[in-house]
Amino acid sequence: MKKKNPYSSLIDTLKRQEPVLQDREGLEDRIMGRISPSGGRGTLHEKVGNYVFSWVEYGWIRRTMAAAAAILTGIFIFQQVTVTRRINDLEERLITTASEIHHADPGMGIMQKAFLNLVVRDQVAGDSITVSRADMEELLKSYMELRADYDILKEYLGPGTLPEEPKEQPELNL
Amino acid sequence: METIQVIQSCIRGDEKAFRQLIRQNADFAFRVAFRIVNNEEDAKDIVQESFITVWEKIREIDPGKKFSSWLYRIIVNKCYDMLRRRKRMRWVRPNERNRSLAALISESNPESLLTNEETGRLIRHISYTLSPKQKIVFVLGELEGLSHDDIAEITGMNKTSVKSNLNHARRKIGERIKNHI
Repeated sequence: MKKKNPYSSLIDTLKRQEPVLQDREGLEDRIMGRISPSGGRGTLHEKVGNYVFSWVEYGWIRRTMAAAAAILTGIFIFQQVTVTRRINDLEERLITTASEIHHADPGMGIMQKAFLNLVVRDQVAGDSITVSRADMEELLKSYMELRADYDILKEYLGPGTLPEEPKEQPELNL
Repeated sequence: METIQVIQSCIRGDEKAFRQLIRQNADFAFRVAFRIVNNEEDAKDIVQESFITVWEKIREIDPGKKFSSWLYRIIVNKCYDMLRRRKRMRWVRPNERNRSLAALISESNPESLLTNEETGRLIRHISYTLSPKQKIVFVLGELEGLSHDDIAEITGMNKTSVKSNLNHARRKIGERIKNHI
């Protein structure tokens, strides 16, 4: 019988050696887990979650959402900066007003200045109101008309029927 | 269920059908991958990645061609990438003085039964000097018994290149066997 050459013998041996796949089930499960997030065996909770958030699988949706988030964040930051600037601006104006008051008397001590500053701030914050010039003029006009009507009424009804006018008129500090 | 029906179901997104497709082809895929990369864990990784590619690209399958050829192509491409990565990482040189290995080569006969590890060591040892292309052509041609045309289709090489690579591989392996006997 002719002896086979070593190369052919080795190839025949290797051909007959079928490598055995161990843990095929585990491999199957890993593959199934990779192709579907639920792996086909997920709970209802997981399936609902996957359904609701399945859009994350789409690149264009992810990019759009990321761009929208960046724009909204930018707008928020811009708004915050603007509001902060306006508040600072208002505070500066208030401080300027207070400074004008205590610069009026350079001989004032530092404690007095601080106290005055505090008082002015409180007054501005609590006891003052800002009225526009137009509203004030409208108020004066109404007052003058009312005053004229009152004089006509007084003349018509005769003396002593209406109470006397107040002697002191309220001062308007414009 | 026939393979073609299973594939049709997979195209419709049927995961159970895909599980069946894996069950039908996992052994074959592992055998090819293992013979090329000679390591169980790497072969399993390649099988896993190959089936994921199958699932992702199953709609692109050519109905006129055999599924096994398409799967061969995917596996071979992944093995080729791994072999090239190993080459860059300077894959550990097998121990030339390994007596048990020499015994395996000299005493090998078709009736002997080898473990996965022994088979892997043996193939790795005899094919150590082959380039990735030569090794793939050797495994497909000599161990898988595919024709030159099939190898050309799977690897994307032309037929002449397949023949040339196979001859080089045979010569180099023959020299290594001689050195161990």
